[in-house]
Parts: sequence; structure tokens; C-alpha cells
Amino acid sequence: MAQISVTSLLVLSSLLRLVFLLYGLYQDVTSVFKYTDIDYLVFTDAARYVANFSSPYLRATYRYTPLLSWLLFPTTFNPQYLWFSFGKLLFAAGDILAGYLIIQVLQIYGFTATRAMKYASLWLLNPMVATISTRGSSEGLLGVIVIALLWSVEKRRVVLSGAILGFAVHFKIYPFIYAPSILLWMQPPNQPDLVSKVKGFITKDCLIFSITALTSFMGLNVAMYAIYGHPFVVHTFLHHLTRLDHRHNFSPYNTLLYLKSSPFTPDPLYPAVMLSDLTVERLAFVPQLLISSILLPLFAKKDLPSTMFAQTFAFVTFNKVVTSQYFMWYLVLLPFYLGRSRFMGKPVIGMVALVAWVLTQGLWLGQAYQLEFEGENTFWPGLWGAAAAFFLVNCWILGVVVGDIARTRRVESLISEKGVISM
Amino acid sequence: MKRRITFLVSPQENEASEDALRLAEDKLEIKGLKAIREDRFTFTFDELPQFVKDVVRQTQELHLRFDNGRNYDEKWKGPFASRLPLGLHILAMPLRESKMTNLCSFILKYADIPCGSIETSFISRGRLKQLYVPNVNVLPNILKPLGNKICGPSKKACKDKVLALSTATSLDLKYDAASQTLDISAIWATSDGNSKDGSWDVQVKPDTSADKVEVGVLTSGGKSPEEEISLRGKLAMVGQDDELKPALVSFPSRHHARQSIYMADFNRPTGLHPKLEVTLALGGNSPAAGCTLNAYFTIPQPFFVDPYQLEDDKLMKSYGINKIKVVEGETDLEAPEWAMSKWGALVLAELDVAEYLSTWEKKRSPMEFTLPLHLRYMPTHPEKHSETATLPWPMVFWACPSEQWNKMSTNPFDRRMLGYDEYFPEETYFYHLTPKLINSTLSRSSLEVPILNSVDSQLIEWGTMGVIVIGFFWVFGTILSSFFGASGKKVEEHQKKE
Repeated sequence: MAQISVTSLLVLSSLLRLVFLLYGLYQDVTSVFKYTDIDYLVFTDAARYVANFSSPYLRATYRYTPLLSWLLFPTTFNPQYLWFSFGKLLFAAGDILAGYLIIQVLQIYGFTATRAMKYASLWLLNPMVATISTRGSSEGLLGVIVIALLWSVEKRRVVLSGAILGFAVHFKIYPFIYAPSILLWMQPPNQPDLVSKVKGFITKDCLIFSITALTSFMGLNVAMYAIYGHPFVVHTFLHHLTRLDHRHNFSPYNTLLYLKSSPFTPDPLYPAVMLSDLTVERLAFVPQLLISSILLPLFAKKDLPSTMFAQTFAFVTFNKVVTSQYFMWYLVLLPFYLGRSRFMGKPVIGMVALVAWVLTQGLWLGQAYQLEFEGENTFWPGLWGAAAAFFLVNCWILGVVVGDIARTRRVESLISEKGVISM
Repeated sequence: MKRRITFLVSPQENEASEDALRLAEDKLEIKGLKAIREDRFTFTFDELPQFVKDVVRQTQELHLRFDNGRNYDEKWKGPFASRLPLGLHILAMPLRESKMTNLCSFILKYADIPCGSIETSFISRGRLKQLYVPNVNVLPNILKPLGNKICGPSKKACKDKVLALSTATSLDLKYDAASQTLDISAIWATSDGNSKDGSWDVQVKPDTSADKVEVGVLTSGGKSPEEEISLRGKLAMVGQDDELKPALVSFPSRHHARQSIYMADFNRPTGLHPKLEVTLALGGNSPAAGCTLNAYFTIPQPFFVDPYQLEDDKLMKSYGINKIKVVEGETDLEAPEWAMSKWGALVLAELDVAEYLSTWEKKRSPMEFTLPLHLRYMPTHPEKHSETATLPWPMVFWACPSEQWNKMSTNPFDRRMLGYDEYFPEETYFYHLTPKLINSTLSRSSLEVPILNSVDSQLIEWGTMGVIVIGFFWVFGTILSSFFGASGKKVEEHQKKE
């Protein structure tokens, strides 16, 4: 690893994706079990609608910004056997670019090139990441957007940062959690009291950042609304707020959502027992947002990328819907945190965390398989228990992450003291 | 009202002997006659009760069809070859812009079928609206209150006559605004009466002396050109004629039977993505040049099809389907069963028969095809762990291009607007395959859908809340202690260690 150049790492990860992509084409042709992700068919169908000057929202379950279907416009070109995979190439290229930026940003934080490449490999050479993008899932694009955001923030490109953030939120809502972190990070250091801390928010940079972020977010929304009207708002934003996700997924809320959204038949033995008016599921956003976008940003000054990692991890963990693609959201930020983590410092903890994370996830997948394909009733307690266990493991990991970040001294002061952070 | 009764005797049976039929002055006595029977009633608009007038007045064309999902046999069926997936099918074409509110309240009131409005309960096929109820016990529910309403409280004979329709193998009610007539046609594959071998012992007698009943006892007239059916036998106008008159008729027919059987079942385990596998004993050839083999599915909740999956030609080919011609109705891919207001969807599939026929010489195996389905989540229940979901078998038929189509309506037994024939050119005739019931009494397959048992609802609620609270406070606590704890010291240690 030591002697390998950045170029060769990028070539290697490109080759990895190319092999996956070609294998996928082969499997799609030869097997009825498709390699291509269902969502990719949604995107490309939507792109076809766009190519015919109609709305991508005519495609059922298209719940994304129209920009995505525009990006995939070339997938409608002929010959199809060449152009259909354009989107996968684009997503894979996004992966590679994200990986390249990870290397760059890690070096800003004082990583040597070799060490940066080693951690970036967590993303670049990760078969899960390569699979997800070459199957045609757009989550990889989000990776590059988030790392680009991090890069431009670290480079103090305030206008660009705001523009990227606005774009990211337009693209997939959740990056809004990074806004408070970045604003806090931009504050002048060592404010003695609360008043000056508050004043710190009103610096020129913070204002410019906020205004550009808001402008790019709203600008894109207004433009898309002007073109596609109400369906744009409904499918891109409102759907995610009102969706009734009763189908099983990793979220600990899942069984409860099924129970509460279904018509309720009282038990004849205990007819008085009704569902409580407790609306835990409606209040799910409270713990989620409290941790991910209010409390965790307070650590931004100490270590921005690790804080963003923790925020994303918390956002996904406490979400009402969790699917494995969401894991990509925090995986892209993992290289920035892992180096300074206890999971590396004390390999036993690291192993326990990894094994527990994989094991509880596997437990859930086993239960879900039995339900989905064998028709076994595993809703309760199996599936619920597995989701709860996975959630608790995630919370424990999050606790360790928070502890690690809290132990870090401010990055800038480290830089100013030693010139380089000791890692 | 006009009434016509047809007994169709299979050529395999002994022909109706002289003593089987005895025509007296005002009645026809029939004894020990093994036959398919069709009773047809024709009413003019003015003869209809007011509440029926209210319903049909809003429709350009209205078809209510019922099929009991039983009585399939391989006997000769003559013009009565077409069947439908079991249950009740309603096809309605509104008159101008009518919302057909009376039809909706009619089926709600008399059939107890939920109908908020045509818009929300029927699926839309352009102007044509369609409702399907996969219930084979629906007829008595409809006919009992209907009989009371039509006959008045005391006329038992009248009510019995109406209720007798509920034993029919298939029942059609048709109204069209052009002719302003309402036709009811009931077909019994065998007698439901007391005779064990399903033969008919009946007396046909007009209700009043002014009435006449047209009766025909017919059997196959022997070989006839393709597309045509020829019948011979005896006809009489009971109440008018003194003797049975011999008859020989032939006419082009839209529907024919084909001596092929099929059966269906889910592949197991079914899971939440069941597949219905249909096996056809097809033989090695198609009935005529240019025919396609098709399957017509009516797919009720909680099943649904994913139209995008069905568009995947390669996948469908691997399932023995050439292409999916039609998917219409409720195809929401995410919503649970309780959020659905429509009954489901219909699918018309063209089977990949060319592939099958080309390998038939070598393999000589039955043809198979598969329809991939999915299940919606179903409501929780305190006592159950699963719900039974039932899918009617599809109707499988050859569709062949016809040269005589303009004459088909001359068929006195013609049947059109069945739900699938509208998707074919009008100049098409059909050869129907016959379902073969082996492990079931009805032409349908069932499976169990796992549901969340809600007896532990309290535990689920508090358990979930508990887990969330524990997870939240663990993280929350770490954050707080990181802020207020002696983090400075730890930083030192941390730095030293590294």
C-alpha cells in the first residue's frame, strides 16, 4: 500500500467498478435475478418521460428531484445497449470523485498521502459501495456532493459551500443537518461568552453562507416548481414527510408503524385494551433532530468531518425508515473519523462494534427473509427484536463516536500548535 | 317479458327420448333430461321496477355477470363455452357524463358491496368502469332482497323463482340503452334439483295464459365449419304450439370450447411475493392459423401486480408469457390493503405459445406459465397470525382472427363484453380451455398472508418506546458528559497515547 500512487488507487477502484458493471450487464442478460437496482429503472423511465418533454413524476415511485432525471437524459439515447448504463457510469464516477476528494480533504487535515489513501480505500475499494453505485443507485452521487461540501468548507470557499449545501438539500433533504455544524465551525474561535457566541453567527461568512445556501436551495425549488408544478413538491418533499412506511425495514419504529397505521381490532378477551394515544411514531423526529442537528453540531468546532459523520449516523439510526442504502450516507464520512477512533485505538472495541453491527443486521435480514420469501410470520417478536437490537448497537456505536469526538482538541489549535495534527 | 329456455344435450348423452318431453296444451313436461340449461328473460324498459329503471337509466351499457367457479366438465358445451373468473363482474358504461350513482347505491344496498362512488370503487378503462368481487356466495345476498322488492312480501312463488337463479353456474344481466331492453340469462351446467345424476325433471308452464315460453331441446348438429356451431333438436312455444317442431340451425359463434384443461396453484413457499403457476394440457397445435393463447386475470386485493416488472419482456418470457397486453386498475406498489378503495386490477397476458409449440414434438410436456404477484400488508388482528388471500384462476383461451365477425351477433346465445374480449379486434373468436379442479372445489387458489398479531400491542408500543428512550438517553448522556465531564483530562491521555 505504501508505494501505491493516488492515480493507481483511482485506476484500481475504477477497474473494480468496471468489473462490477460488466458483471452486472452479464447477469442482467443471463439471469432473471437482476443486478440492476429497481430504482435505476425508475430513474431511467423518468428520464424517458423527460426526454419526451413530460414530467418525470409520471413514473410511479419517482420521488427525487427532476435534476436526477435530467442527469440521466443520455440513458435515453440510442443504441440502448451502450447508453442505458450511462447512469451507472455516472454514479460510479461520482464514487471515484468522492474518493479522490476524500484523499484531498484528509490531507488538509494533515494525513500523509499514503495514510489518506489507506482511509479513502474504505470508500474507494469497498465492494458494497462499488456494488450500490454500479447497480444504479444514486446514493453515491450524494457522497460526492457531501465530500465536495466538506472540501469547499475547509477551503473557506464560502459561496461555493453555501451553493453546494443548497443543492444537496434540494437533492436529498437530509444534508440540511450539516448547516448548523458548518455555521458553528465558521465561528471565530474562542468566544468568551454567550453574547459573543451568538454574535459569532452574524459574521460575514456565516451570512454569505446562509444566503447562498438558501438561494441555491430555493432557487432550484422554484425553478423545478415552475417547470413541474405541484407534483414536484409532493413527490420530492411532502412524500417524505407524510409517507406511511409500514413495510418492514431496519427502523426500530417499523413494527409500531404497522400496528398504528392498520385498522385496530380489539381483543375479544380484553375489549377495553385499545391502542394508546401515544404518538411515539409521530414524535420520532424529536430525538432524531435533537441529536443529529442540534446537539451534535456543537462538536463541529472540534472536528467538522467526524461531527458530520456522527450527525449522519444519528440521523439514519433514529430515522423512521432505514434501508441499507442509507448506510452509504455515513460511510462516505467514515474515513475522516475512523483514524482517530477508539475502534482503531482499541481493536477489541472495534471488532466488537463491527461484529455487533454486522450480526444484528444479519439477524434482521434473516427474519426479513423468512417473512418475505418463506411467508413465516416473524413480525413480532423476531423482526421487531432484531431491529431493536440493531438500533441499540447503533446507539452504542454512536456513543463511542461522540466520546471520541469530544476528546479531540480543536483541530485548528492543533494545527497552530504543532503545524500538523498528531494522528 | 319474454322467456326462453334452452336445454343443451351433449351428443355423448343419449338423445332425448320421446318420453323425456311431453307437450301438453299449456305446459311442457321434461323428465330425466341430462342437459345444460339456459333460461333467458327479456324485459323492456317499461316492464322494469322503478329502482331498476333508476339504475339502468344512467348507463349506456351495463353488464352484471356471475360465475360460480364450479361445474367445469369436458362435455360438449356448444355455444355455452365462455366462463369468467369466479365471482361477480360488473362492467358499466355511463350514459353521457353520468356518475352512475344509482348503480353504486344499488350494489351497496343489495349486494352489500362497498361502493363509495364509481370513481373510487370501480377501475376505469376509459369510459368503461369495472368492478369485480371474488365472492361465490354473493348471489343469494343479492337475489333475496331483490326478490322481496320485485315480488312484494307475499308472493312466495315469485320469490322462489328469483332465488332459483342463485344456483346458476353463471348468470348474466345485460342492459343497453340502444335497445332499451334488459336481458337476464342464467346457465346451469347440471340440474340442481333432486335427481342425483343432475338430470332435469321440470314442468315448463307460462305464468299466465297470455304468456308464452319458448323452449328448445337441442344437441350438436354434427360437424360444422370452423367458427360456426350447428344445433339440431326440437323447439316449441309453450302455450301456443301443439307439438314440438324439429329444428336445425347453425350460426357463427364468438365462443367455442377446446378440449384442453388447465390448473393453477401458487408455488410454495409463497412469502410476500407469490407466483401463480398455471399448467396447461395444451397438446401440440393451435386451433387455427394466427391464434394467440391468452390468460385473463382478475386480481383482487390484497394481491397486486407490479406493472413495471410485467414490462420486463425477458423476465416474462422466462415465465412463459409472450407479453402482458393489459394491466388496468389498482397498481399502487406501496400502499397497504386497508388504504385501497378499489377492488384490484386486471391483467391480460399473451402466452408464449410459439416457444412451447416449437419444442412440443420433443418434450411432449404440459405448457406452464407463471404470473408474478405481490401482497399488500393486511390489517393486524388480535387472534390471527395470518389472513387467507384468495386468487381466482385466470380464464385461458385462444383468440383467433375471424372472417365472419359481422354475423356473430346473429348468434342467439351471443355473449360479449366479458372483460377481455374488448381488448381484441371485434372480428375475433375464442376457444376456451377448461379449468380442472383437483384439490379444490372452486377454481381458485389460496395462501396465507402473515399479519402482525396485535394481542401484544401494548408491549409493542411500550417496548418500542423503551428501546428508543434507552438509545436516545445513551447518546444524549454521552453528549452531555462530553460537554460537562472532565474531558480535558481525557484529551491529555488521548494525546499521550497516540
